Amino acid sequence: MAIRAQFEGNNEIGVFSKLTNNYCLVAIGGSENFYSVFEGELGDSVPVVHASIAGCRVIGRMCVGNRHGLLVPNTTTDQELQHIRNALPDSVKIYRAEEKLSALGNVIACNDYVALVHPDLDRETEDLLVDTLNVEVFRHTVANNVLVGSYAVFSNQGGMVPPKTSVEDLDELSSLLQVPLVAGTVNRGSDVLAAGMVVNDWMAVCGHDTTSTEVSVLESVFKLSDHEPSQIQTQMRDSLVDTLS
Amino acid sequence: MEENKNSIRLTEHYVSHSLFDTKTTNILDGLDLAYCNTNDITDMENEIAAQIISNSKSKSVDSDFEARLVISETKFCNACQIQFADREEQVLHYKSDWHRYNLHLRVTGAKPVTEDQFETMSGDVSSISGSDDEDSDDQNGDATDLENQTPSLEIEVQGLSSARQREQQKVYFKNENGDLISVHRCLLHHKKNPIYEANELISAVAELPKKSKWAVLMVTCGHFAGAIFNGKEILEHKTFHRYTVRKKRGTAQSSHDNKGRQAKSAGAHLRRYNEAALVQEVQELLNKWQELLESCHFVFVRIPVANRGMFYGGKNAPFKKDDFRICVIPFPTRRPTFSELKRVQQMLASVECYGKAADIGSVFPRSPRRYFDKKSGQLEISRCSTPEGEQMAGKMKSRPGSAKTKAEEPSVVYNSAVPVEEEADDKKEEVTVELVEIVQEINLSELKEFECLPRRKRVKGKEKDTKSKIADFSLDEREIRWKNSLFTASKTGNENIFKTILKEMTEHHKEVIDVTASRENSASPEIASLGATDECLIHQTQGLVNDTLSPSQKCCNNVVPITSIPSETSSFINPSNHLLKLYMEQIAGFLNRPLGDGGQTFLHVAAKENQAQLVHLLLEHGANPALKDKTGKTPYNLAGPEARNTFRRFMSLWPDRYDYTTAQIPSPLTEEMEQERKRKMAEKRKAKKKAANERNKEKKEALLKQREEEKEKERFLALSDREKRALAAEKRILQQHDSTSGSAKPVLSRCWACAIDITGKVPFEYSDYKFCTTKCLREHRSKMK
Repeated sequence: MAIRAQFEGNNEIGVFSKLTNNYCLVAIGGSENFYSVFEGELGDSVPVVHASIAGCRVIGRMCVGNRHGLLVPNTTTDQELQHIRNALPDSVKIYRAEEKLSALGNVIACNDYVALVHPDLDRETEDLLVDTLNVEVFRHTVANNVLVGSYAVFSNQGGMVPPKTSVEDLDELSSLLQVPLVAGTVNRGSDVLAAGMVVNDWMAVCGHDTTSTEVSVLESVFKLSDHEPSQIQTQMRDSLVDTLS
Repeated sequence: MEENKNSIRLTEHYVSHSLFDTKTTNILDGLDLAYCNTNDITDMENEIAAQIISNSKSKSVDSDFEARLVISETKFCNACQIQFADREEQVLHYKSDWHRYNLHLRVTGAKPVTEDQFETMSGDVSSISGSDDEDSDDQNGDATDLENQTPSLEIEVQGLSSARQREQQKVYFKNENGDLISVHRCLLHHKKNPIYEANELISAVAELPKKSKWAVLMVTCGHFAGAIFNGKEILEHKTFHRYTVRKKRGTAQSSHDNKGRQAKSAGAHLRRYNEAALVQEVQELLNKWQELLESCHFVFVRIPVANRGMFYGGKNAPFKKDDFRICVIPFPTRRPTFSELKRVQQMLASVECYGKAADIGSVFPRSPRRYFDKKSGQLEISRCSTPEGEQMAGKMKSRPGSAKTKAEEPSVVYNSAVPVEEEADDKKEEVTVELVEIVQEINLSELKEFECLPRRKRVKGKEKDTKSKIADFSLDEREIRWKNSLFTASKTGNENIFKTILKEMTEHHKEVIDVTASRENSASPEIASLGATDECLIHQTQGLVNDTLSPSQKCCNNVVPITSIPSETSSFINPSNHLLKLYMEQIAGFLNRPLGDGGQTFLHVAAKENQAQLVHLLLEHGANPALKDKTGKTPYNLAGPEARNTFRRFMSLWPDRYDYTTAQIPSPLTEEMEQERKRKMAEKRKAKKKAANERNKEKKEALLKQREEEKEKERFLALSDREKRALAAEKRILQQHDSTSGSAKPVLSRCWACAIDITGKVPFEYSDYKFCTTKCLREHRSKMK
């Protein structure tokens, strides 16, 4: 299920929120509408935390996380860190990364198993990623761009890369990340995918400007559509028909 | 700096021709695209090709979208061009430095290096990971090595990016002679209909001289200017102005109205009306020119987005939006005037020649600033080579003898087509106006409320000087005692203390000076006579203080030199004047010394405490009222009303003694003035008293009346109903009588005691007897008893 939303008239949802399978961070100071999009869809199962990082609301670009953990930049204040720690489930590990490239969300893209990182990321941060997020780390670029965290977005189900990515690169990334990938856009043609949307294994939120074509592409690649043909209909159909007839 | 030099060098060979000169056709022979824009054209082609390819690709992605939603099996790194056998190998590879290095190369667009090459390059540097950035010395070393391997790379990338930044406004060509020339791009093709092919561009240039009929239309801020040109001649032209934009605030009324509520002021209505009228006028004019406009090859417009409706909107719009002849003027323009139109037309029609293409190479040529000379009606190259506004260049020219412009003046080759201008230009230079510079200093120090800092510093220094002058007894205990007691005196207004201290001081100074004087001139008879009478001395001081300040003190205290001495004091001036002066100087210097950090003098203290008598004494003994404290306040500023008057009185007595303007004392207060004022005050007081008395009287009367009325009421209420009725009847009869005859009233009831007529009045009564007043009643009653 992909939902369209807006943060104070801004379509860059991925900038102002961070969505994982275990928790969701939203920027403070948004409208109730924006929060209710997340709260309504995630229900009680996943906590929706109103947070700021280093006094900024661009939390989606500042931090990186998956269901195992969360990494925040070293500019995060103790108060903010404590607040996030209190609000998140105990199973989620939270660490501050001493990283030169402090907008971690822009330089790291990850799901629960793999992470794609900026080629120049610190070795220490890489180790921290492995420990905290339980991921395999690959240094790579997306469409010749080092800001993999901004341009690529992927969940455990699938991923999207900007349309400029060549077919060869798409194949390579797909085999590397072990998820199916497609090239696509959000927000009426924006190729800064991760900034324009957030996604986990069962929901995605994108900007209001996203066209229905874009929504249908991301629903199919992230396997979010409710009317996804079930296995009964696809694989077992023939045998069932045989036995029932 | 380097670049600047370059541009100057280029302008040396700069010539600009008009498209419509016959000579120009020679220049346009055998054109070829110049190197300067080959980059962006090939790049554009590449981009388009890439777009087409990616479009087709994305289409295919869409079509077999479902099929592509699979995890790829290709184990191949595109950055390093290497195939992996299994997943483990693949994962390991992505962690290697070689991969990282190749990623960097790939981002910059270079070819990847093989593993062996990388090994040899990196040598014994074990790791070039990001975390080693701090110790970057050796790493930088090998990084530069690696860069040297791909020298062409950076230049290429730069060229691409600069070309991509924007489409150039001019297209550069090389002609037969190898000259580099440029033509405005908007003449060759419309921006929505781009041409990339070199031969098409060249053929478009060749056709340009034939497309000579142009229209230039400009609208801004209620100004409209439009003209139709055919080559160099002007077929039609017209300018309007309407008041549509509020001064200083800016923005057209309509755009202000669109923001929300509409202004209702008269001015707003006026502007609204004028806007509509301007649109109508312009549209009428353009419709009148319809035929000419139809035949135009180009229409150059400058119109704000908000006003586009003027040209494209409405039922009978003069232009259509998709008209490929219409082009926005591709450079900044000034207020729409006729000469501006001509400038625009000439700028656009100019074929700029930058000299030999070979000299310039791949450097982006820059044209010098040009301005429009209204007299000759031609564009001229600005002599100022610094890249400033054209307007500036024009202004600079009109300033003869500006050293800067002359120094930087490059030798400019003028357009051979207009040789007349050159002469005119020379003449202009010869006619120089001689300006005489007169420096006048006007002292506005008395207007200053606060001293500025450096000045204060200077004053401080001089104070130190005077202090050092009298340093020999500045630390004297006696002086400290004087200072303290004088301070208490001025604070409490104790004249006696002041006088005794002053006496002491005079005696002390006299002693000192006597000693020195006798040392210098022991035979001086004046000193002997002077030493005789202290009384006389003190008496004299009062008259002499005005003359006592030494020049140094005068300047340090801002005291005006004294020009006239009051006549009554002149009698006191005897030959021993200069010695007296010396005493007075010393005393005045002491009195004018600032007390403490606030910079206040005794006069400040006394004035602040409103001690009028003491202020007068201080002023008499040379305390300067023009001295300001640290906050820039003069004693007069601090003074209370009494002290203020004392200052002004003193000013009337000694009009020239101090600098009263600096002291901020407004006007003198003479005896007569004071008396006059007193008289006026007394009159005023009298008048006031009178008015108050009258008011009291009136009040009393009113009160009396009210009381009587109340008593009457009470009496009336006390009457029985029958009597009330009788009274009413009486009144009625009286009224009737009044209205009918108006002559003598009938007497219906009389006072029992004095028989006065009480008809219609509420009587005083007891046991059926009725009286006019209580007095009658009382008499009657006493009689009855």
